[in-house]
Amino acid sequence: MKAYSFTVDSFSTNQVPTSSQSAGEVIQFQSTRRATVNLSQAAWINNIIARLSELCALPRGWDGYSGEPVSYELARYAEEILNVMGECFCEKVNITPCSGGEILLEWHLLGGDVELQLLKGGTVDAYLSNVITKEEKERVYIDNFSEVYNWLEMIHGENYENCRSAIH
Amino acid sequence: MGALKIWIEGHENRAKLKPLQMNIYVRFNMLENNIRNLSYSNPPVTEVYCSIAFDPPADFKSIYVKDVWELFKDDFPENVEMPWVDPQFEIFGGIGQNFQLNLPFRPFNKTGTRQWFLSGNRNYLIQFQRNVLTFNWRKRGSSTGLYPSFEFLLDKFKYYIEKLNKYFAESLNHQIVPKQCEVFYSNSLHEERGKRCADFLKCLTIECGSLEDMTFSCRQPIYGEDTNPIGRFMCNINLQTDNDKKKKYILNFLIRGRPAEGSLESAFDFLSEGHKKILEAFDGMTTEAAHELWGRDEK
Repeated sequence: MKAYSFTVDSFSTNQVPTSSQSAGEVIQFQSTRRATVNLSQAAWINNIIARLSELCALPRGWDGYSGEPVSYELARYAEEILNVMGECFCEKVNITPCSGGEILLEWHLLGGDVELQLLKGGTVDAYLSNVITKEEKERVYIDNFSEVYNWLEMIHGENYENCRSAIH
Repeated sequence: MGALKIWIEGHENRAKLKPLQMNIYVRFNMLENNIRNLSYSNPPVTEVYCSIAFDPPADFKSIYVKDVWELFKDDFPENVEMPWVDPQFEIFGGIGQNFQLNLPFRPFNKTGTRQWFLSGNRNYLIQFQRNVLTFNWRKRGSSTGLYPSFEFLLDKFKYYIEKLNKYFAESLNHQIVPKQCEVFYSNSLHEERGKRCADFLKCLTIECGSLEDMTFSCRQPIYGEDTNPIGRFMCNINLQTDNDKKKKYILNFLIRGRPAEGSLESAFDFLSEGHKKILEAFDGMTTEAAHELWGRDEK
């Protein structure tokens, strides 16, 4: 079983390397949280990898007009956001490029829709449409997605608890 | 201040062996202290770096790396090519980072390699890749290993990144907009002048004689004036063994986050504040006996 350990890269140079590194390479700054994901069972991870790789490879004019390519840095930012959203929501996300080189993360669930448009400057336009409460919200976020996660829990409905308990 | 005290006491099965004893005292909110004008004349620092990540110039090609080296070549005459490192973003909310996708895609035309530009004595190092500039100071050997102060290092870093920014502006029509900043400190706590490793840390006192390995890590969000999280403080302590088989603690601190504004000045402020927080945490986690050894001075 291949597993991912949660670690944080750093640019330190004079640490004692671990067995998998040679001297002078990047050291892993160990975090307190660690979990493993069984890749053989995680099709959603492969789907996200494939989709973001596809977006990064888009040529200029990819949409038949003057569509701009998606930057690697923005794709990495999308990855970081998905990292905190958890498996329940990662496996249901749609990832779409926009003509200006932005990335759209969309969730269309039973209780409504959530959309995050990742802009080049690092800000994120967020949109919620709750079909049950008829509520609509628009927000702008940078780095803090607490409210977005609450929105997703809200529109996920009863299936959310089943999904969580299935994972944990 | 919230505090957690864990006492683990165990005895080996065989009576003739010494008992194992660990005292782990974890102080939460290590960043609550507010110390002004604190300094150490002989700190155990072995490495420091400042780093700023940014969006690269559009269509940046590997061939431009030579131009970048030319900017620094007088002070950094040696070049080593290293593997690419993805800059990290600190994200908040959700379930926290319980797992990491760590996507393996790295399109060759959108990444490249990381370049080390080394100073003559190799104590100073610039790390450059198209989306990040890092400036390291490293203690190497006893004669050239004096820690030069954070202010000195930050001034140098400012000079180098402003030079890079000028090159980007003039040659590639691009301005650096900082997206994440990092300040890192590594300290080596080893036996000296009758003090054992375990005498240095308030937060973790372990008789490490028989320990083969030990790691302690923690992370804590840092909040801005509007109570929104702006970055993270990370700390880890590892037990390591020297080439001469002496054991030591490596005490690492990292602060990473997004500056308040997308300007270099704002990034420098973040780094400066980050240094203060690291200093406060270092001061709070280490003992008075250690402070005396390292020449603590608070005005």
